[in-house]
Amino acid sequence: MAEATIITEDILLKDPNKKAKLLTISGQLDETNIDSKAQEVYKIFEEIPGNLSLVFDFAGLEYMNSKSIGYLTDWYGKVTERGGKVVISRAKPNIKDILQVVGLTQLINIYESLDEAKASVNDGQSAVAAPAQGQEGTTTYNL
Amino acid sequence: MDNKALILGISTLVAAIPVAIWIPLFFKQSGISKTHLGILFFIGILTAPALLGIQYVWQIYPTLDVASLIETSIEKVSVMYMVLFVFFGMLEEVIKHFAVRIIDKRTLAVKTVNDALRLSILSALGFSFAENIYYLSQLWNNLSAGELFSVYVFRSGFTMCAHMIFSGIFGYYFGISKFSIDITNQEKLVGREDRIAKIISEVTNKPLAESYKEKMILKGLLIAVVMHAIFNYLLQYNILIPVILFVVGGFLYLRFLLKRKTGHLVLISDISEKKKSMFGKKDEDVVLELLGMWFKDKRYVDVIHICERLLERDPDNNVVKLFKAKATDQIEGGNVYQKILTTVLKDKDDLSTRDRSVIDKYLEKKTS
Repeated sequence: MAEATIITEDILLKDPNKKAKLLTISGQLDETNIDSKAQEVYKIFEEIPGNLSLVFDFAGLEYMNSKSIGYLTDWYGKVTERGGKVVISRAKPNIKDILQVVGLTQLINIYESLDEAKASVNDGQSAVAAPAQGQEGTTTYNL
Repeated sequence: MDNKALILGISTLVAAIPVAIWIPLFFKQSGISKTHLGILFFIGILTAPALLGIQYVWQIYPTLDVASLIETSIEKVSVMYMVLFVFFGMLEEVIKHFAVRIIDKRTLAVKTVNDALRLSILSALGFSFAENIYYLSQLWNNLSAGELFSVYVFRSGFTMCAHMIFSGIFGYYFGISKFSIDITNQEKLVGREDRIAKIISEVTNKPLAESYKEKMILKGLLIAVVMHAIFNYLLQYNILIPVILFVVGGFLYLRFLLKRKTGHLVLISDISEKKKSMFGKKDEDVVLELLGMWFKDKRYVDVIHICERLLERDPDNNVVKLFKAKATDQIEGGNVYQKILTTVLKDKDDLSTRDRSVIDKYLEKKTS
């Protein structure tokens, strides 16, 4: 079974009505773990019904399979439907390549730095990560 | 008229008229070399006398006469006719198909599924042309002018077309069998599993693609033979309305098959000219899997988008070409936009510029 972890953190935004989450994904997302890992993301949608933006940090992500791209597309649809944004930061060249070919880079911006990615969901202003409240199974820490 | 040579000459000229009418309907801008077409038509003509040759051999060696064996061993007349027609249908279909195989082996003329279909139609035309010459010259002195004309019109329209339908369908499956490796790869990605091919593969210990190939040829032959037998059986009992409906429907079906994008795909390419993929193997596999998933989910516009981008990196990937052609075939129909909107998008306004450009490009190609 391939190893993959998703660490979820809150991002403090200028606008108190909006919420944003930083999802740091590392390892390999494949058939053996993607369904269970995806549930962690869907839990966020249950907890925060609207005005949610997601920042994915792919710095440690080595491989994503087709199903994980399918999930990413679904998350994009869910977030944008509710008025939020999805951005990716620090994706490795092979991941960027796949996302480009499947057309996701036309929908989701990919940033070279995490700060830029966070700023993009905070109307251009830099944001900080804050501890998440009451989320089971997630590790939270301040940046 | 007693001059046999003259009767044969007139019969040949008259039999050539429907051939001249049928050929442009299927071979206009076919892209197949005219020399190859000419040779195949000629071989097709020879297949009819070859069949007569078999019957001649039976006369010399009656123990080999399968037709007579069927006639004498089956008591119920209707069953006897059916078995006889299945047997002769199989002989005719195999012999017409053999002509296509000869040409393809020598010239590699079959580069697309449609090529196989068209060449089979031509072989059938050649066969039917020779048959018409034979029947017209045989009946010349035995029928009135009116009766002979009726036979001529029926044979030129319905019988000739029926032969094209039987062989065309066999040719279609032969075409699919030629590209079995790419097709089985694509189907695997969509999650389809051909159970019969799998069983053949397990029993014979051959690769799945090889078993799929054999299955497709057998399937084509079986469909052609059954159709051929039913057609002859109905004619035997003068049940004409189903015959007419069958021929009209079959003709439209052949035209439909020839219009499909999948049939136009050139799946054979010179290995030395094959361009290397500019995409990592593992990454490409991920995208191919995604294509399979989205194709299954009927996200055809997305599939076309991805294929276009992937083909920029890997232009000779037949599996990607198949996905694109099949997705395009899926959205083909009366109202392309409506189909897309119901499967992919909620509202027409949701169409992005890129969606529109892909669809517009597709519609332009379709109308040009």
